[in-house]
Amino acid sequence: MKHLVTSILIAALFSAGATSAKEIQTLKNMERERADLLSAYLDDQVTVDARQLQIQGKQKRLVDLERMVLRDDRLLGSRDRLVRLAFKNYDLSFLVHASTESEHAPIEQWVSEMGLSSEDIKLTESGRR
Amino acid sequence: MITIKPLARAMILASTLVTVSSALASTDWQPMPGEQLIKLPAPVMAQAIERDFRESPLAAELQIRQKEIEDIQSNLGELKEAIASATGQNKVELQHSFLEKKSAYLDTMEIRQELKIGALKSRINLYNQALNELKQDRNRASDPVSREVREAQMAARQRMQRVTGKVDEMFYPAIGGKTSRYNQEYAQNVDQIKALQRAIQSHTAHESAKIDGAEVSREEFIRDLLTEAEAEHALIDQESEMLGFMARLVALDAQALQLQIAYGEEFEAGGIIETGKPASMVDFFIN
Repeated sequence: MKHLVTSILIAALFSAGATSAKEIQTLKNMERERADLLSAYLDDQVTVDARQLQIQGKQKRLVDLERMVLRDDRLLGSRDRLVRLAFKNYDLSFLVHASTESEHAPIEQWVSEMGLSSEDIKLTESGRR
Repeated sequence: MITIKPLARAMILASTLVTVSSALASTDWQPMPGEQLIKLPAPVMAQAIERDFRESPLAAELQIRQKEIEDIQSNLGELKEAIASATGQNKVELQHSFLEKKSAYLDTMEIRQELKIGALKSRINLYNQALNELKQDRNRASDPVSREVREAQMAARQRMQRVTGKVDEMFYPAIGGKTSRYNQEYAQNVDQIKALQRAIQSHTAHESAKIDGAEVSREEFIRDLLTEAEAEHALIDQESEMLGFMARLVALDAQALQLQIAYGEEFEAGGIIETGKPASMVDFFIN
């Protein structure tokens, strides 16, 4: 029994000292999902209804991911650049929560935070750089 | 009649006593790393190290040596009593055995002291490592970048908390407020976590470290353990000095025994009696 308790204690200690790559995994997942949501907004290959459905599903997933990142104690006080940037720009990083707070669509929130105007967007052309 | 055997043994004993060989078996103790130590609850810190040590080959070797010392101590007592009532050749044999046992005691003590010092050095290293870890943690906590990120994170959590209900309403209105699996299970787990946290707070192992009944910080507690280890090390050094003196006395006893065996009572009685001094010879020269 003593050995079992020791093993559990040691396992807990090791997990407490996890590497930074694992620590920021939730943040990376959230960033990937957010990029996917923004791509869905800009996808002109699907119908409006289909896009709306896609966006709805992605937003729901992002709600969970944003909460996971915000509640993740492993990120507390991290010096990782990705973590610092994410929390410095709440309105961009936690897009669904921030946009709900400001009562805008996530894409509007993103465009606004990026400092893009309607005129800027109209002037853009899609193509290979 | 005096036999050569005890004489040779006494001579060998006298010449080898000072240079005791330390034929230590391969014994070791690798304590837990310092970073693990500082994550343990303070009250169990010392016990955890002690248990870790007791399970090591080094502790097993120390126990063996301790048993040997106890046996020798008991033999020495018996021999001393026997010498008091012995006479002649038997007494010389017993005196020799007594010296041999004293020598064996010193050898075993030296090995035990070396083992104890090895264990203490490991402990001292461990405590120093732990103190360095704590210092690094303190530096990290006072690091302005980390502090800034932490503050931003706390503010972000509060901001998210304020809008949680609104977000849930917006994304899960159609299914009667039933949110995602993560959200539901998270809410259930929060209650359980709070109950567990309360249990941990009231657990005896979670109590603050205490020295003489006074609550102290984790760092102070480790520093106290370090001081104890250093004190024990100093006492062992002092004991080693005593053993050195004992070894010299045994060597002198062995030399005395050697001389006694070689020259017998004549030597003990005071050596050569001078005769034929000039004053006693004067009468021979006057006539």
